[in-house]
Amino acid sequence: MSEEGLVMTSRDLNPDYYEARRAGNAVQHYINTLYGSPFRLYSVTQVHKARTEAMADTGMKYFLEFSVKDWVGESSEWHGSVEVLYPRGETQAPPQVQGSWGGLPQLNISAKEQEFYQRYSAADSSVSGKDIPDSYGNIDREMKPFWHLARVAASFVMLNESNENTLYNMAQVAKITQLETQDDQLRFDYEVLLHNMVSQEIIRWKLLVSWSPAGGVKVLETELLPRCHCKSPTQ
Amino acid sequence: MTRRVLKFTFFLNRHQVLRINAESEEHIQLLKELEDDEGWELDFWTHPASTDLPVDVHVPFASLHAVKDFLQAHKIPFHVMINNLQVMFHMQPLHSQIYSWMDTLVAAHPNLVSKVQIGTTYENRPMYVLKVGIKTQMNCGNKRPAIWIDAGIHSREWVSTASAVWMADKVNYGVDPSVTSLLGQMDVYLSIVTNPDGYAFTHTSDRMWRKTRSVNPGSVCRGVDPNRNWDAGFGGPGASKNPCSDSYHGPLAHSEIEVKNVVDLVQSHGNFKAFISIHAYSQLLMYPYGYSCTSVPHQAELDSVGRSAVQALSSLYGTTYKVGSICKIIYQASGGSIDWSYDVGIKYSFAFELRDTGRYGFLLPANQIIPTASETWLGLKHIMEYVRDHPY
Repeated sequence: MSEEGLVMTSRDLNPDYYEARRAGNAVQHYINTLYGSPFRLYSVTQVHKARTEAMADTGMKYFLEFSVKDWVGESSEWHGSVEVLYPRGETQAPPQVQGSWGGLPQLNISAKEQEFYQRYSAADSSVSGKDIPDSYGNIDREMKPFWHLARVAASFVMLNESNENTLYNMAQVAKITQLETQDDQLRFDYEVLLHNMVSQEIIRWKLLVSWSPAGGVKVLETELLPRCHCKSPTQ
Repeated sequence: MTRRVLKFTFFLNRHQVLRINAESEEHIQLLKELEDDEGWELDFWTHPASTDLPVDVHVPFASLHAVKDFLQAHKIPFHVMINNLQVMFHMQPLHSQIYSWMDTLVAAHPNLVSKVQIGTTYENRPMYVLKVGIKTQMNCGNKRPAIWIDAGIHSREWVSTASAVWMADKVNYGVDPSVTSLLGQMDVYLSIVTNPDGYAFTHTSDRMWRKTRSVNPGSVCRGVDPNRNWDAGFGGPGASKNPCSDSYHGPLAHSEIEVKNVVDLVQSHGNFKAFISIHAYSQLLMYPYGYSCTSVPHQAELDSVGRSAVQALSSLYGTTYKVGSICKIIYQASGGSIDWSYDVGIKYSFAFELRDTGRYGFLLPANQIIPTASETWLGLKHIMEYVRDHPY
């Protein structure tokens, strides 16, 4: 490649192939960090068009057209476009996502959020649970919002860990423990299992999460845990 | 011919699955209300969303009359889709239950199915495969062209094994003339639990276990990824050298006895025409290669068969699948089973990744198992019919 008249080669991608799918997956995590809630979660259902451009010093940029919907609220699908920049560098850094989200379907969930908040901000509230869903895919109806909340919190970590060689999903909530409400925020200690489709590894993270209808979801602390065999094997 | 009722722990009598065909928005609304009413303990396998797709509901015996009265009163068309729910998975079967069920199946259809032991596992469990084909005096002992289907090679992918149980049941009890003609010409070898040690471990200790349970000398970590252990680009990119990794390829190709048993069967048989491996999750139908992103010589044909198989699959519930080579659709992965099968000359080599796309992932709820198995069956059937009709 010559130094002068450097052409930024733009490469069209097959939207069904892994490059576009991974970028779409990062966008999904990004959207959930911004707009996710115990009553709202987004899924990028399809990438329609994708292309990529190497940005000299900064990294690799992806341009996507995609569809997304809120699957908890069962919203209609929204068609958007976005830029995802994976930064160059030797240490992991999250992709930078740029898009305008004004058209994203945001169904009215304030009544549900308020009711949930009132219920669990009671002084003696001490929710706890493990294995959500359980091995058979069951989730108690009452635990569903906590499962959604975990997915939103996990999205912060998954976004942070995303690069061109990852495809993250939250596989299961291993543990949830409610902590004392502080500053009007509900607080929870979570242990979540993330699945990286590319390496096939299951990665365990401890998250300290706060939430309120006004405050939204915040991840206050994160800790990477060693993978364990959860029940003691007899070998 | 009466259907023999198979008795095992995950069997429910007198329940029914109703298929409801909503014809208007009003019907959809009524069905949504029905879904929200917890009193009748209805289990909606598909959600009422549009009049384009049927709504399937599992109804317990106690609520049957009330539900049918409700539907009739509102003039919502329906019919009984599954009577006396034969196979209902509230509990994922243990491999021991699967083995007992296999024996019952064989006893019920001695001229159609036999149980073949292809070896043992690392922990000395038997590896059984169901061989299905219409036995006649003429073909007894001959190696007719055959189709290999394996499920559960990665132990945490429970829906793969569960679907295979349902499909084995279907193959044997079904009255589909196309399947009958297929089984008159070819044998189908169905490996339901291809990694029994791993499967047992997911029940006793770690639901997320993927690999075999072999001991890795010099390491505290056990197991080898059985889908990185085949002799196809073995040890190349997309597999790990680290025994603690979930994609560890193992010390050498076919080091895992579970893999070696399949290799030995296929090679000694010598007349397999298709090799299909069933995994979960992501909703993909893939063909070789994984170890390289270059196209295989039969790429166009495999892609075309794949696409029409997916069309058949989607026709049932609208479930969308993507089609492509392993390397292009998910990742470069060396040592995979369908790369090996393709490279030894089995042209029609495919891998399925079943439901879902991540919401439940490996933990797919029981009420999605039969819908998943039913739609997958349509896709699989399409491939098998194509193989039957394109001898080589």
